[in-house]
Amino acid sequence: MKQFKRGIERDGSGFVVLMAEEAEDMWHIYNLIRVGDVIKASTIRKVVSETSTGTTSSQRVHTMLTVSVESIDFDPGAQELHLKGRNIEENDIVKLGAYHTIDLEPNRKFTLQKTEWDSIDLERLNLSLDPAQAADVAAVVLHEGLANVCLITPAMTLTRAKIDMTIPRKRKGFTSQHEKGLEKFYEAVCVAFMRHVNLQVVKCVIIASRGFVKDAFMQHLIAYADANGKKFTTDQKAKFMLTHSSSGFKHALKEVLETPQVAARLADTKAQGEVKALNQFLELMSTEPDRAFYGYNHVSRANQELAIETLLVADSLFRAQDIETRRKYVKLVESVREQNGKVHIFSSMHVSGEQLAQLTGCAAILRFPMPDLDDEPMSDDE
Amino acid sequence: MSRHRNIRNINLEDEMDDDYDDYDDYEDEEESERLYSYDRNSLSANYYTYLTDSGRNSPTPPAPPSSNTAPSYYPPVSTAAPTTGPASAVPSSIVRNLTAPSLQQQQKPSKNPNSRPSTPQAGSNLNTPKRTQQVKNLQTEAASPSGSRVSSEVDLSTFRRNQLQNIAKATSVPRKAVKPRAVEKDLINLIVVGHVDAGKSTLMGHLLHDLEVVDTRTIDKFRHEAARNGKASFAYAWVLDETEEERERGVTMDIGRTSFETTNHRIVLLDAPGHKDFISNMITGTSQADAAILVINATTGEFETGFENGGQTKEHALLLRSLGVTQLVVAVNKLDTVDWSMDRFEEIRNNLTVFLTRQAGFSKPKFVPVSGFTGENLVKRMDLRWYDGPCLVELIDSFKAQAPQSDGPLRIGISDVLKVSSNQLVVSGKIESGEVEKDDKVYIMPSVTAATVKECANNDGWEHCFAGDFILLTLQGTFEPESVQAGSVIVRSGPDTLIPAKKFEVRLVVFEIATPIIKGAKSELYSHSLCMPCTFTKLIHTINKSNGEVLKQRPRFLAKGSTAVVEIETEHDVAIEAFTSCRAFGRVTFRSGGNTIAAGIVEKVITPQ
Repeated sequence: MKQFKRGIERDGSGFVVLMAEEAEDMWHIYNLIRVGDVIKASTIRKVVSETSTGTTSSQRVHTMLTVSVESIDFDPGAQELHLKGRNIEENDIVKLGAYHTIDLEPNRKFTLQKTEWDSIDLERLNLSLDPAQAADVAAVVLHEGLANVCLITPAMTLTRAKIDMTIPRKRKGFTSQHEKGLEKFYEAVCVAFMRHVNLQVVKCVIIASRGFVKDAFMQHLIAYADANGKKFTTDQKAKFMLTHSSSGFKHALKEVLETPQVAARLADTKAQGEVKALNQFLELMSTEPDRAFYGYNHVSRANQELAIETLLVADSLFRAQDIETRRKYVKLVESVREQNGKVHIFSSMHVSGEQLAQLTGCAAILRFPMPDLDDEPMSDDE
Repeated sequence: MSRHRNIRNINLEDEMDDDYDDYDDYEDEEESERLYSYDRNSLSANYYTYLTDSGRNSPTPPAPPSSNTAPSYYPPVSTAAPTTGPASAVPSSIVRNLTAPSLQQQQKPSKNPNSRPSTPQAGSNLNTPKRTQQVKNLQTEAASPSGSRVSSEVDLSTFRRNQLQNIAKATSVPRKAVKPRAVEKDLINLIVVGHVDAGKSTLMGHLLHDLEVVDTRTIDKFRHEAARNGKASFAYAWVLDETEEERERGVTMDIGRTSFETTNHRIVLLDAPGHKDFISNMITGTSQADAAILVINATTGEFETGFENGGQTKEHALLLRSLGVTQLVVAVNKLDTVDWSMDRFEEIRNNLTVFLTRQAGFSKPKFVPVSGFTGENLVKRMDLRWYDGPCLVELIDSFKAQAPQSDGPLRIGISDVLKVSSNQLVVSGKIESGEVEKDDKVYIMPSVTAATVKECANNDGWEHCFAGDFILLTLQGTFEPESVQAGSVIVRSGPDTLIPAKKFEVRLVVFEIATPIIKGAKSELYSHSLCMPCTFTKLIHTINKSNGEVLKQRPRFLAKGSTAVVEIETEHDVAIEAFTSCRAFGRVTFRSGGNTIAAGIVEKVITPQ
């Protein structure tokens, strides 16, 4: 992300001028913008003009609009953000108060104005401006008949292709069917891989499966690249890493990121840190359940006792539509930080984040056991 | 679109005029619905017996709806006789015999119109007003299917829902009498399980050779080829490990299937892979099995790795039990490597008996010392100082076949799709209940695809197949690529059809796991041949194992060994249903990260409102 100007006042209100450069940035912007913010960007408006005789003609006009956002829609596949809202600045073409939807894309400059930039927002903004964060990892998880080709960026896991095929099982005397099916399947995965993974860009490629599928796939991939005149260089070959996963479903990625050899290669990606923290939480849940709690009620009670060592929060909570919910969680995060607690904000686009979001989105590892918390009922929405 | 047309154009009066026996099914259906309806008390009792002693064969409270005393094999057609004038003249014994459908065909023209239970006005003929009511409903619904389409709730899958509703509303197909087969050796599906390299394939390969299912020439050929690859000891395993990859790596990867006969039974042998990574395939096989052989490697140190240090012996045994297999023989293999030591055999037996009876809940596992490689005690008893019991084949022969299943609604679990084209499909699978024949109209769930059976045959070439058979089906219809997969289910239209869903209430037992199950945890759901990612969306309550009382409402997590009721949601619609409706499709197993974390039964299907 590129920042052109920042004008944030002491009281937290202010604006920034930004330009997204890649998909990852769009995700950050999506997390920054909330209902009620003001966005100013160049956009296209269809203008209908009526002549004196009554015939109408419509034109598409480029113009600069300022809207107060009412709804936000993020399309991770197309990397687009659709912001619908009312025009709040007089314009030659668009009346005051008229609705317009601004589409934000990478490489479009825009101004974002907020009445209140809180600590989470600022953290997110600074994070998105940090160029060192960008490093992609490609991963293929597969089992016989199913493969997911994914790109793992610091804040997102994007499924680029999912190949789902039925492979006939082996049958007495008819093993050729099975082998043919498998062959076809590998071919399809190879095609998807070559199309979606740019080996110049990615830092590392993980191929994970159970059994011998990964080795067989690797062989096919090398042969496929050879046959298509895209022979892997030694450099590129060194990027590949074969590891074990129990299945080819997307959630197996979590398992893959846990394995020590992968962990070593991806030491400081955000996805890795999240998986680690969540695992620690889950382990504690079985060994010392009085130190691991989830749900806002339990966690905030623990926070009152200054008991939180690590707080895990899903970023979906900060995108909450009503400001109260957001404020509630921002306060929680700030107060944990004040106590020198660690805070992990999970991206809901990662597998681990998905799981945390299911787990009410809020969990905590405590410094000391609080057995009496267990007796308190969990609230209904948790 | 043909499936809509079928339903929309139905003229119920005509239908019933033609096929009045169709009509009598209703009574039965209603009865059966009542019996199947969810009853917590009986179910919980049932469930505990399921885990402790009784198996899928044992009679349980929600017994099959056999209000008629005829063997449950026979369709309710026989009870129809007394209520409908002319038919009452026919002694029920005749109706019951195999020509039942054709008999009724002939009677049709002679029927007195007044005696036809065709319209609700003639309802005086019908013995229950309830039934009339149902007919009325059906009629109005059949008359205005378009109306129901408009009125249905707004949902993304409205179309699909309507489709399903219409299928469920359609009149059920009259059941045909099952022709008894001439061959009367019972069929047993036998699965062979055990830790990797316990010698399952070799044991079975040698057994098949000794039974002369596989001739010596083939074995010699294998021995030759295997020796050339430096794997001479794998020769027998090659009988079942047929793919190139399996032979090359010397590991069974998918279920090997073959059949042979013993004195009293026909056996379909399923050779399961033992490797940890292929447990999913093992589950698929086990869900089709009636009995099992657990193979143990007696070599020093090997038994211990397989049993204690995270080996598959325990997991396999628990899976067998939770998938409903109750009959078990433990084959202690490779005893030749320890000089047929009695001490070793006894040590293994003592260790395993405790585990199998206490933890897994098998009643009386039998143990037999064997050697798969040298072939002792397989077909012929061997003289051993300390063992004079039956040999392996004798034990296999002593398995009891499943009682012929009740004549429930048609359910075929597809375990393999062999050939797909846009209008033809070849699948194999096991009939869990009901029967199927050429030209039957069926639906494939969860994709809701209509199809006609073009050919069907079981292993022995019978064309009319019924519950318990493993069959090969050729279906005709319009198929979208990849819409039918292993795990799909073939059903018929009618009120007892299977409606696929995404959310289920499941009662489960948590296995030995490192991290507890918490809300939002993801796992893979296994049921019959199905494998589907799912999420635990709600932990409803934990249960006291011994008395079934609720321990804690909405627990924070499920620790190992606990029993609980949870709500799960699968990624896509799946074809499973309540355990009380169909046992085979009501059993579920959860796996995560390569370990089996829980097993249980579906209590309730939660259909979207």
